[in-house]
Amino acid sequence: MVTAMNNLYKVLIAGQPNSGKTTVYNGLTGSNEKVGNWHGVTTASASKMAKIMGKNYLITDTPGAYSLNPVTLEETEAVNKILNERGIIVYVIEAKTLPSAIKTVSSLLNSGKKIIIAVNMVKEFISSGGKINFSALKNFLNCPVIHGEFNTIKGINEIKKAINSYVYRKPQINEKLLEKVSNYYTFSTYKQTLLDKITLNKITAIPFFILAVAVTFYIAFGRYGIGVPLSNLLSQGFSLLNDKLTVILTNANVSKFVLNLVTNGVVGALTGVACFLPQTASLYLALAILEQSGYASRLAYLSEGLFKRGGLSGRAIFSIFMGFGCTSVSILSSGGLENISARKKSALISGLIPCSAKIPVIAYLSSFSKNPFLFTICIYLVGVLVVLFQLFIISKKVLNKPTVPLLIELPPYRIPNPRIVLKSLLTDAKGFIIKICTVIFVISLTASLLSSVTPTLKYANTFDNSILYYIGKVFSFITVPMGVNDARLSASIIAGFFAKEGVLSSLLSVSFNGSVFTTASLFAYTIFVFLYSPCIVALYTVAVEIGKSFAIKLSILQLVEGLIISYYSYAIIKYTAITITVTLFIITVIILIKFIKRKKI
Amino acid sequence: MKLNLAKQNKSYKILKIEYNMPLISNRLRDLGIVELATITVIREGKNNACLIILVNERLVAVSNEIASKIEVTLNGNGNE
Repeated sequence: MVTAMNNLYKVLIAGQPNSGKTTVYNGLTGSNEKVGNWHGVTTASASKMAKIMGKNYLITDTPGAYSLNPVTLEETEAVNKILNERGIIVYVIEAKTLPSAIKTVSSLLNSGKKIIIAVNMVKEFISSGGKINFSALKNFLNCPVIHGEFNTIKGINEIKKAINSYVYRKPQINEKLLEKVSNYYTFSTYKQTLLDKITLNKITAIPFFILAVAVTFYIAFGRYGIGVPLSNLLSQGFSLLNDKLTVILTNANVSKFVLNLVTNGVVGALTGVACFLPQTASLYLALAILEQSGYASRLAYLSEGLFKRGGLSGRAIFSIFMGFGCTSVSILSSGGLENISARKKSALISGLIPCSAKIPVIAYLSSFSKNPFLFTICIYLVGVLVVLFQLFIISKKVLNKPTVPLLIELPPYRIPNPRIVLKSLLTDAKGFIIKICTVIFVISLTASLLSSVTPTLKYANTFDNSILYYIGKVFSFITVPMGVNDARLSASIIAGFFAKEGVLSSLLSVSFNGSVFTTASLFAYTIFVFLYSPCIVALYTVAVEIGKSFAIKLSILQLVEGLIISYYSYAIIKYTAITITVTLFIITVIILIKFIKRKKI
Repeated sequence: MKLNLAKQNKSYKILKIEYNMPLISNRLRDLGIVELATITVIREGKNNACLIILVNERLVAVSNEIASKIEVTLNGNGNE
């Protein structure tokens, strides 16, 4: 029996992680939900209407759950749905994990749930020596059992037939026969693949890990990768468009305000977005390949040692990686971590990672220095120190709930399916464009508008007369201890609160040339831009996913860190001897106080 | 002996699991890491944060913290 509400039937796709649930969901609904060979890809349920053989179904995908005893947040969601929702459950099982999944299935059948068992990845299992007696299994459980490859049309059609022809039968589970696994199942033989011999070997594991990370970043940010050439191409395209539009609009005798709005505003904003969209998309592509191949779990295993020292588990590596694309995405993907404390610790780092919006800003500012490469290295080094500070001091002292130790399945390596990789990339890129790029575009356009209009809402001939300039003047006290007192710089910091790309867009829109900077002030300003509060979109994501109070605290923490470090950087570069002397004096006083306290005890 | 000290490429039988955290205990059971189960160490835990074991044809990375609470014996040879 299926649940029918106004001819709407409900189907829930459930199963253990990495069994192929989302593949089945995508196959039934024609969706492009994210699929990966990594536990924790699906972190929230998704539902969609689908027509199967003339009937309307509401199909719901769920995150993987090993059993009805959830461990992580998304497992809890999955188990709640399985236990509380009515309708058919299509329980997808990977062939090689059938014995462990059967216990969950028999519990559900005994509780009256309507189950179709769908055994997936059978070919791979049989080719490594395994056997399953499906007729025996069907008899022991007294419920429909189908099997095949559910990433194929034939496999999906089998599931559709099973759903459409489902008839409820009272459970008559033969527990005794089911307990003896050999009655229906022969285990396959494990053979360590060459890739696992390389990626898990004592000597070659770390070099391979570094190589994988380096290749990932090169694809996204390397000169001859995918991201940078595409980004350059797009920038050139928009530049040509800008020139053409300038000619057309000038010939059409439009006002300077409209000309400025279209060229510096709209096209300028599009150019700003084009700077980092290809790089973020390339990062998504590289990560999709890592996910699909099965290497993502190995990354978690290899990262466990380092992350554990900072109170995180290796599982956080993936969310940290995503931070190089976008901080918001990093926060969202931390949903696969064990608990809220782990997510908070991950968020502490995510906000400091140079996302794809920050990278062009840093690149732009470093272009004003005498040695941009060395300058950028120094900026990133300071960033790493702050990350370590947040990891080892803030995370451990403030969020001192012990981390759940790593216990994770390493799925077999699989050749990434190009179709699925492309779908995954398009889904991620689409979500990124809709959620992030639109905001960036609006912020850039707003910054351009504010720099073209006076406080009395007339066209501003020069930047010094614009609203943005006056806003910048109000907040210029922030940049004085960094060695600069330029309203454009403080205005761009304000723009950066809305979107990090806003720093670049607003400076470009006022044709900033860096002449106000000395070495010390340039370094101080760049460090501040690198470290200060995450953008509003990221903070909003933190507020929704983790909590409003934590989002506010994170914003204030990074703002204060950014200010202190940038002011200190300026002081140490400009007044090296005095600053070092004062610093040593303060450290000595702190050590003396601690020494005296210990003596008293 | 404890699992975190187990040697690579050897099979062991789990004698006792002393880990108290319910979340981890449930997950160990879900993955088939239970008393009397047979496991093979693919990569040992010495000098690493985790070890990798094969259990029920599943490759599982287990943190040394958990492995140090699992008592094992060499499979088929009695106590080591």
